[in-house]
Amino acid sequence: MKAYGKNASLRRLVSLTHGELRLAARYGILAVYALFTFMYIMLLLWSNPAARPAAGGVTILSDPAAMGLFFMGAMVMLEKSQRVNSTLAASPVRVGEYIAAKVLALLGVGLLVALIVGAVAGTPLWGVVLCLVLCSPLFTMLAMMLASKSVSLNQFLLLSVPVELIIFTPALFYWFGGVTSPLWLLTPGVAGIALLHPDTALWPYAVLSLLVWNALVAVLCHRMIRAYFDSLGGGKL
Amino acid sequence: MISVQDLRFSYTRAPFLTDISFQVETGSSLGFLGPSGAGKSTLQKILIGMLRHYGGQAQVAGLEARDADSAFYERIGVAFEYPTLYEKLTGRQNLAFFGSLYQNKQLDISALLDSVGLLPSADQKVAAYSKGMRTRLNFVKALLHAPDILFLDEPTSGLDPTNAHVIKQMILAEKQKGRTILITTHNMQDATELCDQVAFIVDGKLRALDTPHHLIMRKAATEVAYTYLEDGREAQGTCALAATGEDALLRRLMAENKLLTIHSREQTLGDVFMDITGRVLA
Repeated sequence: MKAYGKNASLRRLVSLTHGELRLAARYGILAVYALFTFMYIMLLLWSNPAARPAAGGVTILSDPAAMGLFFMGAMVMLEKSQRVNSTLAASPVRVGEYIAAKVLALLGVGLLVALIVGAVAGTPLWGVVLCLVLCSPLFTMLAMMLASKSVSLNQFLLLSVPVELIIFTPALFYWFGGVTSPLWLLTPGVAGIALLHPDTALWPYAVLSLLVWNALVAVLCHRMIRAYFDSLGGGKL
Repeated sequence: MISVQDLRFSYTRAPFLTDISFQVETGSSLGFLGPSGAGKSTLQKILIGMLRHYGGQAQVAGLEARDADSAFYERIGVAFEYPTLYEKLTGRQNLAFFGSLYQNKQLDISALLDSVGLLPSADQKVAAYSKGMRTRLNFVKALLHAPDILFLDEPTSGLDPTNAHVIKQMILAEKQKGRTILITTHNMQDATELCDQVAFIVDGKLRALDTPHHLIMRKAATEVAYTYLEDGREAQGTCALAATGEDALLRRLMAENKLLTIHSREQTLGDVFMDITGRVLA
């Protein structure tokens, strides 16, 4: 018997991530990203230079970071409709690899878009990287959890809207000065947008908050996808 | 290769599968037959490691199914009843993607596609495939990593007789290569042709397990039917197999060489299934 160690796992992760990116391209998701990036750049270039960092911050959190929630949800729903997850569940792919591949694929695309938007807007690029690395996986995993429980794209959209509102409403209030207490950093949206602020004093708290959120959501996501995989496979025998 | 002993499983408090025991030797094939909801799906889920909270033993390739890991899945190939394919990818891309998830060296994709008549459509998106084409692609996907054990669910469902024959020949060829094969089917003809043993499952219980031949011969042919001409019209007669020598009409027709046809009426596997379980397959 061959050794089935980290190398095999890494190879599967690379294959799955490549597969995700290829499917994102086939479903037009990459084209939408490209179009949005172009639109954001144009809007930022036409906007008042003084307002660009603020506009850039909101744009980065709401799109490259959080757009994954919608895109990933749509991709999982498409997988469900094509029943490919039955085959993945009965293959060497581990649940963790399946989740990680989706996280990496959308993180890669989101990071590229965010860095371009950040550069145009004058947002601190280290903050952009930190925000994307800590927020994009969170939104992707939330999308997978919601999609695993949804029976249709409409249901997924209905479930995802409250999640988006809960995350983004405090973030927008915080960004525009509506709330100032650092305790708001305990919420993922505020922690994420705080990383796009030039004042780095709160970054360590924001990073810590998002690390905890990611860890919690990763555990929940793994459980829910495991349960979802366990529910697949038999068909009507 | 597969050893199941006193297997029990329940989705709720009520038992769903009870006292299931059977063995499948390496290189042989077993068919699961039973009506919908009988427990075949659940049994397959357990054997492929997708339902882990069962009682008793279910050893597949030397590993308890509840402990299935990546190495376990390298050794099994599963073709579900329904196609599980990416519609936006071509047939070739689907096989290349799923093959890339295995450490086992994958078989030649063009040769596999050719074997089921899909080579000319290899570079078409699966969305453009017919149901039969998808079924064939789904089947070869399970063979891609040359697994030791194949789990095939309704492998000829939706196929025309020619393609069904091709798939059946491939299944037999895989068996010849030493693969162990588990088939779930409602098709008695498929079960008779492909399976060394068949298991009847009804209401979560194994009601019979034997070779198709033994099951069919369990109640040997009991009747002989014959046709002959009478007043210019075809007529039919029957008699017990054990009493052909006492049937005066048959004896006379034979003596006068006036029989048109004569044959014994063997039971089909479907008849046997009904006899044993009191149920029909649907």
